[in-house]
Amino acid sequence: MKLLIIIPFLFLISCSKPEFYSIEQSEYIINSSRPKIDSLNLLINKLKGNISPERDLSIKIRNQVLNKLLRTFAFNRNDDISITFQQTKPVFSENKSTIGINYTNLVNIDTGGLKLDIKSLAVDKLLNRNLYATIELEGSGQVSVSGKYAGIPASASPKIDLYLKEPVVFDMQITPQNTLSIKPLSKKVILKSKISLKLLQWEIPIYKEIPLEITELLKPIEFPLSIKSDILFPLPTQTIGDNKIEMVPYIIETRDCIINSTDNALDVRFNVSFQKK
Amino acid sequence: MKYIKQILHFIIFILSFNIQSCFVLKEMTGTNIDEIQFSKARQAKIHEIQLNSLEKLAARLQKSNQMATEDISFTVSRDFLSKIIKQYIGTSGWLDKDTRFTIEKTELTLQNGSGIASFSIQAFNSFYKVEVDLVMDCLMNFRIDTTDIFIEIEPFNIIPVVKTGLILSGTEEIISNLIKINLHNIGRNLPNLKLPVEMKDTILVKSANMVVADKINMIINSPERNISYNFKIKEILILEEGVYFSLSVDKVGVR
Repeated sequence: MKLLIIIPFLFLISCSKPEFYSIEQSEYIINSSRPKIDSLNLLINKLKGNISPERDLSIKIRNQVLNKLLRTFAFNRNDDISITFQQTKPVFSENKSTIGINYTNLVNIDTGGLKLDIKSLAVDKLLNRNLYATIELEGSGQVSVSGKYAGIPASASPKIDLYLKEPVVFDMQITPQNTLSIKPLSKKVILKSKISLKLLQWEIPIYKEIPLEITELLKPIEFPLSIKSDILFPLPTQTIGDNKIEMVPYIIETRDCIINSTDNALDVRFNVSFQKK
Repeated sequence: MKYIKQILHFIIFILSFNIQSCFVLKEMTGTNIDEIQFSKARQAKIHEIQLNSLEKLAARLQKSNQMATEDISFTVSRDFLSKIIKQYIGTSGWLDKDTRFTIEKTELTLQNGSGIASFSIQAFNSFYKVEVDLVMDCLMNFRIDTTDIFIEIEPFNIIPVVKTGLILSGTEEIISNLIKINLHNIGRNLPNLKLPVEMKDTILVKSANMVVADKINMIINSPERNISYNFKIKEILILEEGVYFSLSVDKVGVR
C-alpha cells in the first residue's frame, strides 16, 4: 500500500515543471520580440546620433566647460599675481640743455609692488591639438622712485599701471602619467606699463613695454580625467577555502592617443592594454 | 517475504534517484531535446532582457536626450569591455572542495540598452567524477560612485551545455544543479570591477615664479590654486558601440 503511494509521488515531484522554457515557448518569445527589437533599435540609432569610439576610451569636453572653469578662476579674486619691483637704474632718462648747460633728468625705480588681476581667461576656439585663448591682466599700485630733475635729487611714489591682453595658444598632450596636460606654447607677450611720474616740476607719463615669456607666467594645467597606472581584477582564487575571489593587480598602459577638437569640444581618445603585475 | 520487501525498497530508492532527473521519462519519450531546448531557452531569455532594456532606453532618450548637450562625455568602447572580460579566460577556481572550474571562453554581447557577458565554464567534480560544461550569462551594469566607475556583473542565466548526441544523466544533472547554485552565488558576490579611470574634482593650477630683468626689473609670483567643481552624472547609457557616460560640471570654486 505504501509503495503504491510512494512511487507516483516520486514521479510527481521529480517530473515537475521544467526549469527552462520549452522549445515552442522559446521560439514564440524569439519570434515575437524580434520585430520589436529591430524597430526600437532603429529609433534609438536615430536618437543617439553618431558615436564611433575609435579607441578603447574616449573623453569629450565641451568648450563651455573649459570656459566655466576658467571664468571662475579669473573672477575668484583680483590679486591673482603679485609683482615686486626691483631696483631699476634708470627706468627713464632724458638729456637736456639749458643756456648751454647739459644735464640729464633721470628716474630710478627703488622698490614697489602691486597685484595683478586676471580680468579674463577665455577659450576662443579648439582646433586639433591646440586650444586658442585670450588672457587679460590688469593692475595698479605704487612704486618708489628717486632721481634727479635739473640736477636736483628727489624721490616720489607715483602710481604705476600694468596691463596685458594677448592671445595665447596651448598645446594638449597625454603625459607619461596618463593625464591630459594643457601647456602654453612659447611666446613673448607684452606687459604694458605706465608710470604717472611727478618728480618736482617734472610731470610725465613713462611708458614701457616689458616682454614676458608666457611659459614662465602660465604653468601647464593638468586636466581632471586620467587613467590610472594599475587596476585590481577580481579573479577566482586558486586555493580552496572560503574566499572564492582574490584581487589581482594588473598594470595598465595607454597608447595610440589621439587628441582632436571637433564641434567646439576637446576630444581625447586612447587605447588601453592590461598586463598582470 | 521480508527480504523481498527490503529488496523492493532498495530498488525503489535507486529508481527514485534516477527519476529525480526525469531520466526515465526522457528515455520513455525517446526524444533527445536537451541540447536544443537549452540553447533556445537561453536565446529566449536573452531576447527578453534585450527587449526590456531597449524599451527603457528608448523611453529615456525620447524623454530627455542629454547626448548632444552634455558638458563632459566619456565612452568606454565595446572592445575595451571585451578586453576586460577576456582577462578571465583560462582562470580557474574552486566552487567547493571537490569541484574545480575553469573559464574556457568569454563573449561580450553589447546591444542598445544591455550588456551581457557570457562565460563558458568547465567544472569537474572529483568526488562523483563528473565533468559538466556550463554557460553563465551575466548582465553588466555600470555605476559611478563619487569619482570611480564600477562594473557590476549579475548572473541571470546558468545553463548546462550538453555534448552533441548525448543527454544529461541523472547524476550529471544533480551535480550541474549544485554547480549552478555555487556559480550563481560566486557571480552575485563578485566584487565590482573598478575601471582604471580617475575623475578628479579639482584642477591644480601650479604656482609660477619668474624674474624679469628688462626695462623694469621685477619678480612675478602667482600662487598655486585649485579649481574645484562637482561632477553630476546625467546619463549612463549602454549602446552597441560602448557605454556612454554624460556628466555635467557645476559648483565651480577656487581654493
